[in-house]
Amino acid sequence: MEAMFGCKKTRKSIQLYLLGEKLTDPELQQMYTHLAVCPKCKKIFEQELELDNTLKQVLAPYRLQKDLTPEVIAHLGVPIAQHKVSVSERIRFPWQVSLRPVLGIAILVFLMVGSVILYNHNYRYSHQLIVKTFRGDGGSYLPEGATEWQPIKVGTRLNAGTALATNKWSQVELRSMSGNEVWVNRDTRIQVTNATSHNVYMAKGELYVNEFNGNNAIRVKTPGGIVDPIGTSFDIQVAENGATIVAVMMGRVQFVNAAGSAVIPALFLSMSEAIQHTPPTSKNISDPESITKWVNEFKEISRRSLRTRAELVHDSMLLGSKYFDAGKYYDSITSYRLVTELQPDRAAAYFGIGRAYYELKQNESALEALETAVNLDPKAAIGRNYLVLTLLRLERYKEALPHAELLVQEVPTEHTYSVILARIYLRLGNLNDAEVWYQYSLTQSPCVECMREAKEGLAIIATRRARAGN
Amino acid sequence: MEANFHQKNDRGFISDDELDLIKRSQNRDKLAFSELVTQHQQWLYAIAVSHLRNFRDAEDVVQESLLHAWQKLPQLRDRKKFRHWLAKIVLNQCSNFRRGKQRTMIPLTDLGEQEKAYFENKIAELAQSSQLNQEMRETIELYLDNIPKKYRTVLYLKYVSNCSLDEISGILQISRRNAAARIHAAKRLLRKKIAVNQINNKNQDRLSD
Repeated sequence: MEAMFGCKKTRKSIQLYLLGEKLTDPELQQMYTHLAVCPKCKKIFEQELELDNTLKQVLAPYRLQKDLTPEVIAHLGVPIAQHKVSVSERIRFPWQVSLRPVLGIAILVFLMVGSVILYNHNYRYSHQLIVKTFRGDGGSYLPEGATEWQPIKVGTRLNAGTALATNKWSQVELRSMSGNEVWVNRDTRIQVTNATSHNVYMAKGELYVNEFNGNNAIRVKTPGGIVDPIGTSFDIQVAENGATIVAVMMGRVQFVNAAGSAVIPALFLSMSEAIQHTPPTSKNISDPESITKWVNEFKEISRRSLRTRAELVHDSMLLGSKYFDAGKYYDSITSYRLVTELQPDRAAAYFGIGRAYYELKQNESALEALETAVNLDPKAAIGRNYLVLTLLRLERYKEALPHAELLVQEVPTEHTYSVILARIYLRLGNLNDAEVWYQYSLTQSPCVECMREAKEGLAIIATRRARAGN
Repeated sequence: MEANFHQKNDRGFISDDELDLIKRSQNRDKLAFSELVTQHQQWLYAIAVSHLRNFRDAEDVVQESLLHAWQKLPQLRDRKKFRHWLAKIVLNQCSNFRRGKQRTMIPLTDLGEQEKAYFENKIAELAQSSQLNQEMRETIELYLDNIPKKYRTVLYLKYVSNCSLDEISGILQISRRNAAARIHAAKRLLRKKIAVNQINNKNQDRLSD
């Protein structure tokens, strides 16, 4: 019986029963039967019943003891005191508008206007470029609407429409509001714009762009097309005739012009001529022949744009050298690394890498690159000299000695090498050889620093001998 | 037919006779309205008492609410929601009464002499008629003030004016299931408080021993 009419069902019936719901006779019968056999349900039923009775007894006095009908009916005609006229009953004039919708609309308008102002503010300043540093005379800029060029200063803000020009002796580093950096090289002309497709228009020269924030990427328009970075650092050169060269260091770059678009991968150079293309118009867009012609034309230009490996190596070497001169050692290393990828036996590239690491005081990396360079090209004196200097920094004099001796043999007229050799001998305790080479360097009309070092070295040797004699 | 909480149109049933009375009242028929007052005054009073916990104030509020209802009855569009509409008037009047006149609520312990005497007599009668657990009754009275209003209202509607689930759901415009759940929750809350009270009493007895 319990299985037929379980505890759960019984408890539901108990609830309904106590709520005053009418149960059917079979339901009542089943409930009573279950209560007779299930002590747990019986206890619950008793508890519920007790509470129900208690509540009835406790709350019974709260029943209304008198009939209110006569009193209410007697007062039906009498207006109620303190009765306020509801809004719907008031006489409403046309100009009386409920406040709530007006307030709602006002808030909505305020939010919309605010968001538009905020968007415009952000949009306006997102295109702004700020002068971070400059070299040389720094170049000059022409604000929009102005007629005279003004000299660049650190912190100058270049708003949309401002033109910037550098001459042969100046370089400018710019920073966008989103943190991206643009290095404007010598003899370059650019204009800051707030166009949706690009931020900078570049007429000629060279730009190096370092993208830290991909969300607000700096897009550069050249006479050849638009360079759109995809998380990247890249270099753009625009020749006098408008031809564009893009060197991609990291990430990718999308190059778009009238002929179409292409994604340039990292460690790759691409060049585009100043194309005066007419894209298919609405009239001839449906004409397959014109489309095919247009595509073929683009392919031909792309084929011509691809540079040979030698050209690529040459450009990258030049770029590395420029970065080194500009003090951008990491960029210089990146450029030289590109060369080593393309031409692994290029000693000059390893030398460039070693030299940049030497300047960065990363001696172990510098040593590795310079050793490779010297092995590839044993006659490269400057490379060997940097190797000796690196070994001296690491205080590995015995290893530096053969290289220094070789240098002196190959270039006997260079007084610096003999001073370095003498220094090594002195550190190794070979006073006689040190003296010989210091004396020799003095005969080679040395520079002021080398002469000072030679004289100081000779004085040290004399002092040591005097001490040894005593 | 098995009783079920899940019935369609379970927002309270209103008979055709009542609808007729409401319609006549809207046409300013005082006799019809007097019948409506007689029918509904009991549960209106239960709601008012559950909110104000004061007999006189509850009576005043119910009278005022009914007069107000008489004035506003022509504006009632959905006659099927008459009970809920009345309940809302009473609740608003209760709020106005407490806020507008800034009257402090009189707890049952501070009742007037007349009311106190009435209460004591009534309780004595009830105690005689059935052997009520005195301790439990006191506890329930104490804790009825402390439970949330929505639970208190359903308890008063159920036990003071003997409203069915249909009527409660119609008055409060809640489903039958929700009405049943509220009654059940209110009882559970009271039972819990009683259990806690009993434990506290036992602990106090132990400490005093």
